[in-house]
Amino acid sequence: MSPTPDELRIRKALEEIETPMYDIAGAVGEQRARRTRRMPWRSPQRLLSAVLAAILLTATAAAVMQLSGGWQTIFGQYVVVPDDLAIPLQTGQTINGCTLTLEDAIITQSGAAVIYSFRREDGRPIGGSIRCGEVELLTDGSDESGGACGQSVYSDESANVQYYYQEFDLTNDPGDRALTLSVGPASRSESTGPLTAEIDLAAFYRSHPLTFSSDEVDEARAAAYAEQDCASAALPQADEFPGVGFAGVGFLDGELCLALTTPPDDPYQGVSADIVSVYDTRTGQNILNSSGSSYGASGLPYSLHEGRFPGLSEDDLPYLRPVITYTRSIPVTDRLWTFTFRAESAKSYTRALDLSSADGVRINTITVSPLGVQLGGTRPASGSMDGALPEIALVLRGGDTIGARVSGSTAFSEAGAPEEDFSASYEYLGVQHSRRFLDTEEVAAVRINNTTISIRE
Amino acid sequence: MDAHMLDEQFASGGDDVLAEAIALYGQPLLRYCHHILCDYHDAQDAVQTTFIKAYDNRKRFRAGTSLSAWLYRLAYTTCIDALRRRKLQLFTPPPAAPDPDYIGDDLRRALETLSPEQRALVYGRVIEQRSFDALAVIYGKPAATLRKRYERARRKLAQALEGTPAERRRRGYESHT
Repeated sequence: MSPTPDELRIRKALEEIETPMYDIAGAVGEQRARRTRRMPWRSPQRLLSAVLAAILLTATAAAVMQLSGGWQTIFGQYVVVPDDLAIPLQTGQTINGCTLTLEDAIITQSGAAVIYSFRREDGRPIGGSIRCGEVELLTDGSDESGGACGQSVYSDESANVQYYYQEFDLTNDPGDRALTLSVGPASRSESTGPLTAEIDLAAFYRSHPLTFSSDEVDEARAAAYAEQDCASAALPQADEFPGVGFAGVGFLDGELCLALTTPPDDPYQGVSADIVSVYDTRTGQNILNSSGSSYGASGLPYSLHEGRFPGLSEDDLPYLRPVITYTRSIPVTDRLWTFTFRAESAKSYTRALDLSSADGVRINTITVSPLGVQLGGTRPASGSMDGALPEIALVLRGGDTIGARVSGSTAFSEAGAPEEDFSASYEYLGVQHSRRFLDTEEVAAVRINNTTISIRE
Repeated sequence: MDAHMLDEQFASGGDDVLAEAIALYGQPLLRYCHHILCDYHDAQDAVQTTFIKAYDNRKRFRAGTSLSAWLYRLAYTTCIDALRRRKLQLFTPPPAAPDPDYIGDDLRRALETLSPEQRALVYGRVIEQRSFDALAVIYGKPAATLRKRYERARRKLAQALEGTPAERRRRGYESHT
């Protein structure tokens, strides 16, 4: 492929996107383990604290309470949540001065939705740098969900409460079983200002000159930096940011390349750093990073953050000093907020179908629940890249019809196969396209494209 | 284990082949998802979901065909899924500074002039330098169709990048050399 000038410019622009390496295998392994293990999914200490902190609620005891304002905050003033569908729970736990409140839940035979909120105990605004952490829902201590999905967050830095909405697909009816929601631990991020590193770039370059090629793979670039051996380069505030080091100096297509090594990404208590500019001691000017990239090589326990600076040559190196900013994720809470409750589940209808449409879409299963509709089936693999999905509407018992929109879909296909399996989720539409939740007892039938199917037993 | 062996063994393998697949394709897929979603943390979720879906459905993968293409296709649909969910947050203001350290505002705005499909094609073509035949295997579309779509996307992105500070700096530099 011989790139056009446009493609070269686009490539340069896209190379500014940093994608830090992180432990994908570890994250996938942990996620799979949580799905399959029935026994403790956290460390014994965390499990103990979770059990001690667990609060047993019942839907009947909570029924006298009002629903929280989180529904309107997240979905807007027109959201419809039937009173007999959502369960007000409104129970909070404070950890390290931060209160998480499990506000309300909708529990159905095929899924669950919860609203929870985050506040500081001192009432101060939350600010924009708080990350609440991971969320999971266990049924009788076991993960029967296909993973948390459909999260919405209302984010307002000046607010002193932040609401979260989270949906879970469940493989078994959770009705009257112990549901345990765990969230956390929370962290926030904090960055330093620019700090000048007194590194003799010319000396490192002369010791092992590096000239990179734009077609080399990340592993080759990482190996080249490792050969330059800059372990002795001193970074400012190095003691406060362990794991960050100067990786090396080289040139690529006439651009100066400077790189740092940083630990793998850890949003809870990790550290990262970037070379944002170089300070020219001759002119007193900072030359900004024109592009940057971040990459890792398999088997390396660190990421490389590289910045590029056009218009500089080897002759300039004695006068240049890298300018660095560090970002640190700081734990805000040291354990999980954990809530356990039981509730009756609202009715969901699941049907096997054999419904084909002219565009080759075949629907095999449908589930209608208070949270929305889910379809499963097959469709031509050679359709649009985004795949064709049927249109859905619901016919209510009184004869009214309400619309639904796609909220998610997945597809699997074998390479070259004419068809792919797909599943799609839809949510109900209310006034002005706002979200609507629905008691399925109200639903008489589902209209899929032009075919109407009764869901009543 | 190399890519060819993985193509042969993924469908019948266990945890070991999953680990090999992640080692080989994890980071490229993370970058791919990052470019489509323009959000690093969503990309992390997407790439994890991709590998879990792939493992759960590994029996559907036909041994000897391209695992890489299958994973990219899975990752693409996972990203589309994530974007559809994101669209539902109609009343949720966007975060004040999404991914401030990873994608500059100007570049984000330029990328957001493209559809997810266009971002995927531009990434595949410009960054990964895949042929249109290779892209056709991933997306199940004729190579000629993808070429036309890519050309439109390329022109649109080049136009959107005009006038960004990074582009001005680059051009200023080029004009002085």
